[in-house]
Amino acid sequence: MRGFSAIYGREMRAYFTSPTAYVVSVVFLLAVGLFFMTLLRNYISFDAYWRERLLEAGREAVPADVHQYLLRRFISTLGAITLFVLPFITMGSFAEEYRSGTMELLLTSPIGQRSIVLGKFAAASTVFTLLLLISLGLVSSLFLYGNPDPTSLLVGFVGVWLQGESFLVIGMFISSLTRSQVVAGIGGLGAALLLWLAGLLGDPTSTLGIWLNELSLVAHFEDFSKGILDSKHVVFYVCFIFFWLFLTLRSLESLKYR
Amino acid sequence: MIVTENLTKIYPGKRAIDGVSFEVQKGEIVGFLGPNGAGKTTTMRILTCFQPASSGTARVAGHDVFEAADAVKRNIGYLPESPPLYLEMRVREYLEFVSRIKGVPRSMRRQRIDESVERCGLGDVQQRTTGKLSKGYRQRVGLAQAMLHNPPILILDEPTSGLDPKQVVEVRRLIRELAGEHTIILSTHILPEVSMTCERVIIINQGRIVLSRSLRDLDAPGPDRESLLLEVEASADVSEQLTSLEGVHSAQRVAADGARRYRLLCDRGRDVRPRVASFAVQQGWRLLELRAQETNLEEIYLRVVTSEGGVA
Repeated sequence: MRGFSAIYGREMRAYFTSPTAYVVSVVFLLAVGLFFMTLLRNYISFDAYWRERLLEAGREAVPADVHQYLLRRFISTLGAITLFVLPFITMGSFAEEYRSGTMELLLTSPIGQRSIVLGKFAAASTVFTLLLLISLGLVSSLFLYGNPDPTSLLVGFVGVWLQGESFLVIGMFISSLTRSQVVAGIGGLGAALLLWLAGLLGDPTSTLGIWLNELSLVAHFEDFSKGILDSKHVVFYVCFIFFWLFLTLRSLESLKYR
Repeated sequence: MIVTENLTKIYPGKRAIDGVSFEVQKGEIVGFLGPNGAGKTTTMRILTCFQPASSGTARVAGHDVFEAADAVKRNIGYLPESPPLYLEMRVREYLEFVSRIKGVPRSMRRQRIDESVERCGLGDVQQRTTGKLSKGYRQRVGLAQAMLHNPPILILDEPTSGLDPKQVVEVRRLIRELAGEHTIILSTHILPEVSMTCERVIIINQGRIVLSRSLRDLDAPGPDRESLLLEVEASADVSEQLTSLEGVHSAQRVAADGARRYRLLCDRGRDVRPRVASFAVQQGWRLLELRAQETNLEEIYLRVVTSEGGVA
Protein backbone atom coordinates (compact mmCIF):
# COMPACT_ATOMS: atom_id res chain seq x y z
CA MET A 1 0.00 0.00 0.00
CA ARG A 2 2.92 2.32 -0.66
CA GLY A 3 1.63 5.67 -1.81
CA PHE A 4 -1.90 5.26 -0.48
CA SER A 5 -1.77 8.21 1.88
CA ALA A 6 -0.08 10.42 -0.74
CA ILE A 7 -2.78 9.61 -3.29
CA TYR A 8 -5.55 10.05 -0.74
CA GLY A 9 -4.16 13.38 0.40
CA ARG A 10 -3.81 14.69 -3.12
CA GLU A 11 -7.32 13.63 -4.05
CA MET A 12 -8.80 15.31 -0.99
CA ARG A 13 -6.91 18.50 -1.74
CA ALA A 14 -8.08 18.36 -5.35
CA TYR A 15 -11.71 17.97 -4.25
CA PHE A 16 -11.51 21.01 -2.08
CA THR A 17 -9.51 23.24 -4.39
CA SER A 18 -11.57 22.58 -7.51
CA PRO A 19 -15.12 23.78 -7.92
CA THR A 20 -16.47 20.31 -8.79
CA ALA A 21 -16.83 19.06 -5.24
CA TYR A 22 -18.45 22.29 -4.11
CA VAL A 23 -20.95 22.34 -6.95
CA VAL A 24 -21.81 18.68 -6.39
CA SER A 25 -22.17 19.26 -2.65
CA VAL A 26 -24.38 22.29 -3.08
CA VAL A 27 -26.64 20.48 -5.53
CA PHE A 28 -26.79 17.42 -3.28
CA LEU A 29 -27.62 19.38 -0.14
CA LEU A 30 -30.11 21.55 -2.00
CA ALA A 31 -31.93 18.46 -3.25
CA VAL A 32 -31.84 16.87 0.21
CA GLY A 33 -33.20 20.04 1.81
CA LEU A 34 -35.98 20.50 -0.74
CA PHE A 35 -37.17 16.92 -0.56
CA PHE A 36 -36.97 16.84 3.21
CA MET A 37 -39.01 20.00 3.46
CA THR A 38 -41.64 18.70 1.05
CA LEU A 39 -41.91 15.33 2.75
CA LEU A 40 -42.12 17.02 6.13
CA ARG A 41 -44.91 19.26 4.93
CA ASN A 42 -46.77 16.25 3.58
CA TYR A 43 -46.30 14.46 6.86
CA ILE A 44 -47.65 17.40 8.83
CA SER A 45 -50.87 17.59 6.82
CA PHE A 46 -51.20 13.81 6.88
CA ASP A 47 -50.67 13.83 10.64
CA ALA A 48 -53.47 16.36 11.12
CA TYR A 49 -55.78 14.25 8.97
CA TRP A 50 -54.75 11.11 10.86
CA ARG A 51 -55.50 12.59 14.30
CA GLU A 52 -58.86 13.86 13.07
CA ARG A 53 -59.80 10.39 11.85
CA LEU A 54 -58.76 8.88 15.17
CA LEU A 55 -60.83 11.38 17.11
CA GLU A 56 -63.80 10.74 14.85
CA ALA A 57 -63.46 7.06 15.60
CA GLY A 58 -63.52 7.98 19.26
CA ARG A 59 -59.93 6.93 19.90
CA GLU A 60 -56.99 8.74 21.42
CA ALA A 61 -55.24 11.07 18.93
CA VAL A 62 -51.67 9.72 18.71
CA PRO A 63 -49.34 11.20 16.06
CA ALA A 64 -48.82 9.29 12.80
CA ASP A 65 -45.74 7.08 12.78
CA VAL A 66 -42.78 9.30 11.86
CA HIS A 67 -40.69 6.53 10.50
CA GLN A 68 -43.38 4.99 8.42
CA TYR A 69 -44.78 8.19 6.96
CA LEU A 70 -41.75 10.47 6.83
CA LEU A 71 -38.32 8.94 7.35
CA ARG A 72 -38.82 5.88 5.23
CA ARG A 73 -39.83 8.01 2.30
CA PHE A 74 -37.05 10.43 2.95
CA ILE A 75 -34.44 7.65 3.03
CA SER A 76 -35.67 6.21 -0.25
CA THR A 77 -35.54 9.67 -1.77
CA LEU A 78 -32.03 10.20 -0.40
CA GLY A 79 -30.95 6.96 -2.06
CA ALA A 80 -32.26 8.26 -5.38
CA ILE A 81 -30.53 11.62 -4.94
CA THR A 82 -27.17 9.91 -4.38
CA LEU A 83 -27.68 7.99 -7.61
CA PHE A 84 -27.88 11.23 -9.56
CA VAL A 85 -25.14 13.11 -7.74
CA LEU A 86 -22.35 10.65 -6.88
CA PRO A 87 -21.27 9.84 -10.46
CA PHE A 88 -20.19 13.46 -10.69
CA ILE A 89 -17.89 13.08 -7.70
CA THR A 90 -16.06 10.16 -9.26
CA MET A 91 -16.18 11.19 -12.92
CA GLY A 92 -12.74 12.81 -12.81
CA SER A 93 -10.98 10.19 -10.74
CA PHE A 94 -9.25 8.53 -13.68
CA ALA A 95 -10.51 10.36 -16.78
CA GLU A 96 -8.82 13.56 -15.69
CA GLU A 97 -5.53 11.80 -14.95
CA TYR A 98 -5.55 10.26 -18.42
CA ARG A 99 -6.35 13.57 -20.06
CA SER A 100 -3.72 15.60 -18.27
CA GLY A 101 -1.04 12.93 -18.59
CA THR A 102 -0.55 12.60 -14.85
CA MET A 103 -1.40 8.92 -15.08
CA GLU A 104 2.02 8.51 -16.66
CA LEU A 105 3.56 10.01 -13.54
CA LEU A 106 1.63 7.69 -11.23
CA LEU A 107 2.30 4.55 -13.24
CA THR A 108 6.02 5.26 -13.56
CA SER A 109 6.38 5.82 -9.83
CA PRO A 110 7.19 2.98 -7.46
CA ILE A 111 3.71 2.75 -5.96
CA GLY A 112 1.18 -0.03 -6.29
CA GLN A 113 -1.81 0.34 -8.55
CA ARG A 114 -3.88 -0.87 -5.65
CA SER A 115 -2.88 2.24 -3.69
CA ILE A 116 -3.99 4.40 -6.60
CA VAL A 117 -7.43 2.80 -6.80
CA LEU A 118 -7.97 2.59 -3.05
CA GLY A 119 -6.61 6.08 -2.39
CA LYS A 120 -9.04 7.53 -4.88
CA PHE A 121 -11.92 5.45 -3.56
CA ALA A 122 -11.20 6.46 0.02
CA ALA A 123 -11.16 10.13 -0.95
CA ALA A 124 -14.44 9.99 -2.90
CA SER A 125 -15.91 8.02 -0.05
CA THR A 126 -14.81 10.64 2.47
CA VAL A 127 -16.54 13.40 0.52
CA PHE A 128 -19.72 11.35 0.26
CA THR A 129 -19.66 10.42 3.95
CA LEU A 130 -19.33 14.09 4.88
CA LEU A 131 -22.34 14.95 2.73
CA LEU A 132 -24.30 12.18 4.34
CA LEU A 133 -23.39 13.33 7.84
CA ILE A 134 -24.60 16.82 7.01
CA SER A 135 -27.88 15.34 5.76
CA LEU A 136 -28.17 13.29 8.93
CA GLY A 137 -27.71 16.48 10.94
CA LEU A 138 -30.55 18.08 9.01
CA VAL A 139 -32.88 15.15 9.63
CA SER A 140 -31.89 15.01 13.27
CA SER A 141 -33.67 18.33 13.75
CA LEU A 142 -36.74 16.11 14.08
CA PHE A 143 -35.53 15.07 17.51
CA LEU A 144 -36.15 18.63 18.66
CA TYR A 145 -39.87 18.27 18.00
CA GLY A 146 -40.63 14.62 18.49
CA ASN A 147 -39.07 11.28 19.19
CA PRO A 148 -38.52 9.26 16.04
CA ASP A 149 -36.79 5.91 16.44
CA PRO A 150 -33.05 6.67 16.23
CA THR A 151 -32.09 3.06 15.41
CA SER A 152 -34.31 2.88 12.35
CA LEU A 153 -33.00 6.22 11.21
CA LEU A 154 -29.38 5.09 11.55
CA VAL A 155 -30.07 1.79 9.81
CA GLY A 156 -31.62 3.75 6.96
CA PHE A 157 -28.54 5.93 6.69
CA VAL A 158 -26.27 2.88 6.73
CA GLY A 159 -28.28 1.62 3.76
CA VAL A 160 -27.88 4.92 1.92
CA TRP A 161 -24.19 4.86 2.69
CA LEU A 162 -23.63 1.32 1.43
CA GLN A 163 -25.67 1.93 -1.69
CA GLY A 164 -23.85 5.22 -2.29
CA GLU A 165 -20.44 3.55 -1.98
CA SER A 166 -21.64 1.13 -4.65
CA PHE A 167 -22.48 4.06 -6.92
CA LEU A 168 -19.02 5.48 -6.27
CA VAL A 169 -17.21 2.32 -7.34
CA ILE A 170 -19.32 2.03 -10.49
CA GLY A 171 -18.49 5.65 -11.27
CA MET A 172 -14.80 5.05 -10.71
CA PHE A 173 -14.83 2.05 -12.97
CA ILE A 174 -16.49 3.97 -15.78
CA SER A 175 -14.04 6.82 -15.26
CA SER A 176 -11.17 4.37 -15.68
CA LEU A 177 -12.38 3.62 -19.21
CA THR A 178 -12.35 7.08 -20.72
CA ARG A 179 -10.39 10.30 -20.99
CA SER A 180 -13.49 12.43 -20.94
CA GLN A 181 -15.03 13.53 -17.67
CA VAL A 182 -18.34 14.18 -19.35
CA VAL A 183 -18.49 10.65 -20.72
CA ALA A 184 -17.44 9.32 -17.32
CA GLY A 185 -20.09 11.34 -15.50
CA ILE A 186 -23.03 10.53 -17.76
CA GLY A 187 -21.83 6.97 -18.37
CA GLY A 188 -21.39 6.42 -14.65
CA LEU A 189 -24.90 7.66 -14.05
CA GLY A 190 -26.25 5.33 -16.72
CA ALA A 191 -24.36 2.32 -15.38
CA ALA A 192 -25.46 3.06 -11.82
CA LEU A 193 -29.06 3.48 -12.94
CA LEU A 194 -28.94 0.16 -14.75
CA LEU A 195 -27.51 -1.72 -11.79
CA TRP A 196 -29.85 0.04 -9.42
CA LEU A 197 -32.96 -1.03 -11.27
CA ALA A 198 -31.68 -4.23 -12.89
CA GLY A 199 -34.74 -6.01 -11.50
CA LEU A 200 -37.02 -4.16 -13.90
CA LEU A 201 -35.33 -5.83 -16.86
CA GLY A 202 -36.86 -9.24 -16.32
CA ASP A 203 -40.26 -10.73 -15.67
CA PRO A 204 -40.32 -10.94 -11.84
CA THR A 205 -41.96 -14.39 -11.95
CA SER A 206 -39.28 -16.01 -14.11
CA THR A 207 -35.97 -17.36 -12.80
CA LEU A 208 -34.03 -14.75 -14.75
CA GLY A 209 -36.23 -12.02 -13.33
CA ILE A 210 -35.64 -13.23 -9.79
CA TRP A 211 -31.91 -13.31 -10.37
CA LEU A 212 -31.88 -9.85 -11.88
CA ASN A 213 -33.87 -8.56 -8.98
CA GLU A 214 -31.46 -10.13 -6.50
CA LEU A 215 -28.60 -8.39 -8.29
CA SER A 216 -30.16 -4.97 -8.37
CA LEU A 217 -28.98 -2.47 -5.81
CA VAL A 218 -32.40 -1.15 -4.91
CA ALA A 219 -33.73 -4.59 -3.94
CA HIS A 220 -31.20 -4.74 -1.13
CA PHE A 221 -31.96 -1.22 -0.06
CA GLU A 222 -35.65 -1.78 0.80
CA ASP A 223 -35.02 -3.41 4.17
CA PHE A 224 -32.64 -0.66 5.27
CA SER A 225 -35.24 1.98 4.56
CA LYS A 226 -37.73 0.03 6.66
CA GLY A 227 -35.23 0.15 9.51
CA ILE A 228 -34.30 -3.53 9.25
CA LEU A 229 -30.61 -4.37 9.39
CA ASP A 230 -30.05 -7.68 7.62
CA SER A 231 -26.49 -8.97 7.25
CA LYS A 232 -27.43 -10.52 3.91
CA HIS A 233 -27.78 -7.09 2.39
CA VAL A 234 -24.63 -5.77 4.01
CA VAL A 235 -22.68 -8.70 2.57
CA PHE A 236 -24.20 -8.02 -0.83
CA TYR A 237 -23.08 -4.40 -0.88
CA VAL A 238 -19.62 -5.20 0.43
CA CYS A 239 -19.14 -7.87 -2.25
CA PHE A 240 -20.49 -5.52 -4.87
CA ILE A 241 -18.02 -2.81 -3.86
CA PHE A 242 -15.05 -5.19 -3.88
CA PHE A 243 -16.07 -6.61 -7.23
CA TRP A 244 -16.08 -3.20 -8.91
CA LEU A 245 -12.88 -2.10 -7.19
CA PHE A 246 -11.29 -5.23 -8.57
CA LEU A 247 -12.56 -4.46 -12.06
CA THR A 248 -11.23 -0.91 -11.78
CA LEU A 249 -7.82 -2.27 -10.86
CA ARG A 250 -7.94 -4.59 -13.86
CA SER A 251 -8.96 -1.74 -16.10
CA LEU A 252 -5.97 0.26 -14.88
CA GLU A 253 -3.65 -2.65 -15.56
CA SER A 254 -5.08 -3.11 -19.02
CA LEU A 255 -4.08 0.47 -19.75
CA LYS A 256 -0.63 -0.85 -20.50
CA TYR A 257 -1.99 -2.79 -23.39
CA ARG A 258 -4.27 -0.16 -24.80
CA MET B 1 22.92 1.39 -17.44
CA ILE B 2 20.39 0.66 -20.14
CA VAL B 3 20.43 -2.37 -22.39
CA THR B 4 17.64 -3.27 -24.77
CA GLU B 5 17.47 -6.25 -27.00
CA ASN B 6 15.10 -6.63 -29.89
CA LEU B 7 12.38 -4.51 -28.36
CA THR B 8 9.23 -4.73 -30.42
CA LYS B 9 5.91 -3.13 -29.72
CA ILE B 10 2.91 -3.94 -31.81
CA TYR B 11 -0.26 -1.92 -31.54
CA PRO B 12 -3.32 -3.22 -33.30
CA GLY B 13 -2.49 -2.84 -36.97
CA LYS B 14 0.81 -1.08 -36.41
CA ARG B 15 4.37 -1.90 -35.45
CA ALA B 16 5.41 1.03 -33.32
CA ILE B 17 8.94 -0.23 -32.85
CA ASP B 18 10.59 -3.21 -34.41
CA GLY B 19 13.67 -4.97 -33.06
CA VAL B 20 15.17 -2.02 -31.24
CA SER B 21 18.49 -2.88 -29.59
CA PHE B 22 20.87 -0.39 -28.02
CA GLU B 23 23.02 0.23 -25.00
CA VAL B 24 23.60 3.31 -22.95
CA GLN B 25 26.65 3.53 -20.71
CA LYS B 26 26.70 5.15 -17.31
CA GLY B 27 26.99 8.92 -17.51
CA GLU B 28 26.24 9.14 -21.22
CA ILE B 29 23.82 11.62 -22.73
CA VAL B 30 22.09 9.98 -25.63
CA GLY B 31 19.85 11.77 -28.06
CA PHE B 32 16.97 9.84 -29.52
CA LEU B 33 16.35 11.44 -32.85
CA GLY B 34 13.64 10.71 -35.33
CA PRO B 35 10.65 12.17 -37.13
CA ASN B 36 7.29 12.28 -35.39
CA GLY B 37 5.82 8.83 -34.99
CA ALA B 38 9.16 7.08 -35.34
CA GLY B 39 8.78 5.21 -32.06
CA LYS B 40 10.70 7.43 -29.67
CA THR B 41 7.91 7.81 -27.14
CA THR B 42 7.03 4.12 -27.33
CA THR B 43 10.62 3.14 -26.55
CA MET B 44 10.72 5.53 -23.63
CA ARG B 45 7.44 4.25 -22.28
CA ILE B 46 8.81 0.74 -22.31
CA LEU B 47 11.96 1.82 -20.50
CA THR B 48 9.89 3.56 -17.83
CA CYS B 49 7.63 0.52 -17.33
CA PHE B 50 4.60 2.46 -18.49
CA GLN B 51 3.93 -0.04 -21.25
CA PRO B 52 5.32 -3.52 -21.75
CA ALA B 53 7.02 -4.48 -24.99
CA SER B 54 5.34 -7.07 -27.21
CA SER B 55 8.65 -8.91 -27.36
CA GLY B 56 12.29 -8.34 -26.55
CA THR B 57 13.89 -7.34 -23.28
CA ALA B 58 15.07 -4.16 -21.66
CA ARG B 59 17.21 -3.82 -18.56
CA VAL B 60 17.51 -0.52 -16.79
CA ALA B 61 20.10 -0.11 -14.02
CA GLY B 62 20.45 -3.87 -14.00
CA HIS B 63 16.74 -4.60 -13.55
CA ASP B 64 14.36 -6.02 -16.10
CA VAL B 65 11.58 -3.56 -16.88
CA PHE B 66 8.97 -6.27 -16.86
CA GLU B 67 10.16 -8.48 -14.02
CA ALA B 68 11.36 -5.82 -11.61
CA ALA B 69 9.34 -2.77 -12.51
CA ASP B 70 9.49 -1.24 -9.04
CA ALA B 71 13.28 -1.35 -8.92
CA VAL B 72 13.44 0.22 -12.38
CA LYS B 73 10.99 2.95 -11.40
CA ARG B 74 13.14 3.86 -8.41
CA ASN B 75 16.13 4.36 -10.68
CA ILE B 76 14.56 6.56 -13.30
CA GLY B 77 13.24 10.05 -13.50
CA TYR B 78 10.81 10.50 -16.36
CA LEU B 79 9.57 13.61 -18.06
CA PRO B 80 6.75 12.64 -20.44
CA GLU B 81 6.04 14.65 -23.54
CA SER B 82 3.74 16.99 -21.69
CA PRO B 83 4.76 17.63 -18.09
CA PRO B 84 2.48 15.59 -15.81
CA LEU B 85 1.22 18.41 -13.62
CA TYR B 86 -1.84 18.68 -11.43
CA LEU B 87 -2.86 22.14 -12.49
CA GLU B 88 -4.68 22.97 -9.28
CA MET B 89 -1.62 22.38 -7.10
CA ARG B 90 1.07 24.83 -6.13
CA VAL B 91 4.58 24.05 -7.36
CA ARG B 92 5.93 23.25 -3.91
CA GLU B 93 2.87 21.19 -3.01
CA TYR B 94 3.19 19.25 -6.25
CA LEU B 95 6.86 18.46 -5.66
CA GLU B 96 5.97 17.39 -2.13
CA PHE B 97 3.42 14.96 -3.57
CA VAL B 98 5.86 13.61 -6.15
CA SER B 99 8.54 13.10 -3.51
CA ARG B 100 6.07 10.97 -1.57
CA ILE B 101 5.05 8.73 -4.46
CA LYS B 102 8.67 8.41 -5.56
CA GLY B 103 9.49 7.07 -2.13
CA VAL B 104 11.85 9.83 -0.97
CA PRO B 105 12.29 9.25 2.78
CA ARG B 106 10.50 11.83 4.91
CA SER B 107 13.71 13.23 6.37
CA MET B 108 15.17 13.85 2.91
CA ARG B 109 12.13 15.40 1.27
CA ARG B 110 12.73 19.00 2.17
CA GLN B 111 16.32 18.91 1.07
CA ARG B 112 15.55 17.15 -2.21
CA ILE B 113 12.74 19.55 -3.04
CA ASP B 114 14.90 22.59 -2.23
CA GLU B 115 17.63 21.24 -4.44
CA SER B 116 15.36 20.55 -7.41
CA VAL B 117 13.70 23.93 -7.02
CA GLU B 118 17.04 25.63 -7.08
CA ARG B 119 18.50 23.72 -9.99
CA CYS B 120 15.43 24.27 -12.12
CA GLY B 121 15.19 27.93 -11.19
CA LEU B 122 11.77 27.65 -9.59
CA GLY B 123 12.54 29.67 -6.47
CA ASP B 124 10.26 32.54 -7.44
CA VAL B 125 7.27 30.46 -8.42
CA GLN B 126 7.25 27.86 -5.61
CA GLN B 127 3.98 29.14 -4.23
CA ARG B 128 2.30 29.65 -7.60
CA THR B 129 -0.35 27.30 -8.93
CA THR B 130 1.12 25.18 -11.71
CA GLY B 131 -1.91 25.89 -13.91
CA LYS B 132 -0.99 29.55 -13.97
CA LEU B 133 2.61 29.04 -15.04
CA SER B 134 3.93 29.63 -18.54
CA LYS B 135 4.86 26.66 -20.68
CA GLY B 136 8.55 27.15 -19.99
CA TYR B 137 8.02 27.08 -16.26
CA ARG B 138 5.76 24.06 -16.49
CA GLN B 139 8.50 22.25 -18.35
CA ARG B 140 10.93 23.18 -15.60
CA VAL B 141 8.55 21.88 -12.97
CA GLY B 142 8.41 18.70 -15.05
CA LEU B 143 12.19 18.48 -14.97
CA ALA B 144 12.27 19.19 -11.24
CA GLN B 145 9.79 16.36 -10.81
CA ALA B 146 11.97 13.98 -12.82
CA MET B 147 15.14 14.67 -10.84
CA LEU B 148 13.46 14.92 -7.46
CA HIS B 149 14.40 11.51 -6.09
CA ASN B 150 17.89 11.89 -7.55
CA PRO B 151 17.62 8.94 -9.91
CA PRO B 152 20.75 7.79 -11.73
CA ILE B 153 18.85 7.76 -15.03
CA LEU B 154 16.77 10.51 -16.57
CA ILE B 155 14.44 9.84 -19.47
CA LEU B 156 13.21 13.02 -21.09
CA ASP B 157 10.64 12.92 -23.87
CA GLU B 158 10.92 16.02 -26.07
CA PRO B 159 12.08 18.24 -23.23
CA THR B 160 12.10 21.40 -25.34
CA SER B 161 8.97 20.97 -27.42
CA GLY B 162 6.63 23.91 -27.41
CA LEU B 163 9.03 26.28 -25.71
CA ASP B 164 10.07 29.66 -27.02
CA PRO B 165 13.72 30.02 -28.12
CA LYS B 166 14.89 31.55 -24.87
CA GLN B 167 13.29 28.81 -22.81
CA VAL B 168 14.77 26.20 -25.14
CA VAL B 169 18.25 27.54 -24.41
CA GLU B 170 17.58 27.46 -20.68
CA VAL B 171 16.25 23.92 -20.67
CA ARG B 172 19.16 22.69 -22.76
CA ARG B 173 21.62 24.30 -20.40
CA LEU B 174 19.90 22.65 -17.48
CA ILE B 175 20.11 19.26 -19.16
CA ARG B 176 23.79 19.72 -19.85
CA GLU B 177 24.34 20.61 -16.22
CA LEU B 178 22.62 17.44 -15.13
CA ALA B 179 24.75 15.38 -17.45
CA GLY B 180 27.65 14.88 -15.09
CA GLU B 181 25.76 12.93 -12.46
CA HIS B 182 23.02 11.32 -14.48
CA THR B 183 22.71 9.04 -17.44
CA ILE B 184 20.29 10.81 -19.76
CA ILE B 185 18.21 9.74 -22.71
CA LEU B 186 16.35 12.51 -24.40
CA SER B 187 14.21 12.37 -27.46
CA THR B 188 13.79 15.10 -29.98
CA HIS B 189 12.97 15.73 -33.57
CA ILE B 190 15.13 18.82 -33.64
CA LEU B 191 18.57 18.19 -35.05
CA PRO B 192 20.66 20.94 -33.46
CA GLU B 193 19.36 19.87 -30.10
CA VAL B 194 21.26 16.63 -30.37
CA SER B 195 24.54 18.23 -31.38
CA MET B 196 24.18 20.80 -28.65
CA THR B 197 23.35 18.54 -25.75
CA CYS B 198 24.24 14.94 -26.51
CA GLU B 199 27.33 12.83 -26.80
CA ARG B 200 25.73 10.14 -28.84
CA VAL B 201 22.83 9.97 -31.21
CA ILE B 202 20.47 7.15 -31.95
CA ILE B 203 18.41 7.82 -35.03
CA ILE B 204 15.17 5.95 -35.17
CA ASN B 205 12.85 5.84 -38.13
CA GLN B 206 9.68 3.85 -38.67
CA GLY B 207 10.34 1.89 -35.52
CA ARG B 208 13.87 0.83 -36.38
CA ILE B 209 17.23 2.12 -35.30
CA VAL B 210 18.94 3.34 -38.42
CA LEU B 211 22.04 4.82 -36.86
CA SER B 212 23.72 4.81 -33.47
CA ARG B 213 26.99 6.71 -33.20
CA SER B 214 28.87 9.04 -30.99
CA LEU B 215 28.77 12.60 -32.24
CA ARG B 216 32.56 12.69 -32.34
CA ASP B 217 32.48 9.94 -34.93
CA LEU B 218 29.99 11.97 -36.86
CA ASP B 219 32.43 14.87 -36.97
CA ALA B 220 30.22 17.00 -34.91
CA PRO B 221 32.18 20.14 -34.23
CA GLY B 222 31.96 19.80 -30.46
CA PRO B 223 31.13 22.51 -27.99
CA ASP B 224 34.11 24.81 -28.73
CA ARG B 225 34.17 24.32 -32.49
CA GLU B 226 31.97 25.26 -35.34
CA SER B 227 32.17 24.13 -38.87
CA LEU B 228 32.21 25.93 -42.20
CA LEU B 229 31.53 24.59 -45.61
CA LEU B 230 33.79 25.92 -48.33
CA GLU B 231 33.73 25.24 -52.04
CA VAL B 232 36.39 26.64 -54.32
CA GLU B 233 37.73 26.09 -57.80
CA ALA B 234 41.40 25.28 -57.49
CA SER B 235 43.85 23.25 -59.44
CA ALA B 236 44.96 21.02 -56.56
CA ASP B 237 44.01 19.88 -53.08
CA VAL B 238 44.15 22.92 -50.83
CA SER B 239 43.38 21.43 -47.42
CA GLU B 240 46.90 21.98 -46.13
CA GLN B 241 46.90 25.66 -46.98
CA LEU B 242 43.52 25.99 -45.28
CA THR B 243 44.72 24.37 -42.09
CA SER B 244 47.58 26.84 -41.88
CA LEU B 245 45.07 29.66 -41.41
CA GLU B 246 44.72 31.00 -37.90
CA GLY B 247 41.53 29.80 -36.22
CA VAL B 248 41.08 26.84 -38.56
CA HIS B 249 41.81 23.50 -36.96
CA SER B 250 41.24 21.12 -39.77
CA ALA B 251 40.03 21.01 -43.30
CA GLN B 252 38.51 17.91 -44.69
CA ARG B 253 37.53 17.28 -48.24
CA VAL B 254 33.91 16.18 -48.31
CA ALA B 255 32.88 15.93 -51.95
CA ALA B 256 33.57 12.82 -53.93
CA ASP B 257 32.69 14.17 -57.36
CA GLY B 258 35.90 16.09 -57.97
CA ALA B 259 34.61 19.38 -56.66
CA ARG B 260 36.86 21.12 -54.14
CA ARG B 261 34.54 21.09 -51.21
CA TYR B 262 35.90 21.27 -47.69
CA ARG B 263 34.58 21.15 -44.22
CA LEU B 264 36.57 23.43 -41.91
CA LEU B 265 36.56 23.10 -38.13
CA CYS B 266 37.09 26.49 -36.57
CA ASP B 267 37.00 28.07 -33.11
CA ARG B 268 33.45 28.68 -31.99
CA GLY B 269 32.39 32.27 -31.71
CA ARG B 270 35.25 33.54 -33.82
CA ASP B 271 33.93 34.08 -37.29
CA VAL B 272 36.77 33.22 -39.66
CA ARG B 273 34.73 33.56 -42.82
CA PRO B 274 36.21 36.94 -43.86
CA ARG B 275 39.71 35.58 -43.40
CA VAL B 276 38.94 32.44 -45.38
CA ALA B 277 37.34 34.48 -48.14
CA SER B 278 40.23 36.91 -48.55
CA PHE B 279 42.68 34.02 -48.30
CA ALA B 280 40.94 32.25 -51.16
CA VAL B 281 41.06 35.34 -53.29
CA GLN B 282 44.70 35.92 -52.41
CA GLN B 283 45.52 32.35 -53.47
CA GLY B 284 43.73 32.86 -56.75
CA TRP B 285 41.01 30.26 -56.10
CA ARG B 286 37.58 31.00 -57.30
CA LEU B 287 35.23 31.08 -54.30
CA LEU B 288 31.98 29.27 -55.03
CA GLU B 289 30.46 28.83 -51.63
CA LEU B 290 31.24 29.65 -48.05
CA ARG B 291 28.75 29.11 -45.29
CA ALA B 292 28.45 28.12 -41.68
CA GLN B 293 27.30 24.57 -41.26
CA GLU B 294 25.71 23.47 -38.05
CA THR B 295 26.90 19.88 -38.30
CA ASN B 296 26.91 17.20 -40.84
CA LEU B 297 24.43 15.36 -38.67
CA GLU B 298 21.82 17.05 -40.78
CA GLU B 299 23.10 15.41 -43.95
CA ILE B 300 23.26 12.02 -42.31
CA TYR B 301 19.85 12.39 -40.80
CA LEU B 302 18.23 13.29 -44.07
CA ARG B 303 20.01 10.46 -45.78
CA VAL B 304 19.00 7.75 -43.32
CA VAL B 305 15.51 8.99 -42.72
CA THR B 306 14.56 9.51 -46.31
CA SER B 307 16.17 6.35 -47.68
CA GLU B 308 14.52 3.00 -47.16
CA GLY B 309 17.34 1.12 -45.50
CA GLY B 310 19.83 2.33 -42.95
CA VAL B 311 23.55 2.81 -42.70
CA ALA B 312 23.97 1.55 -39.15
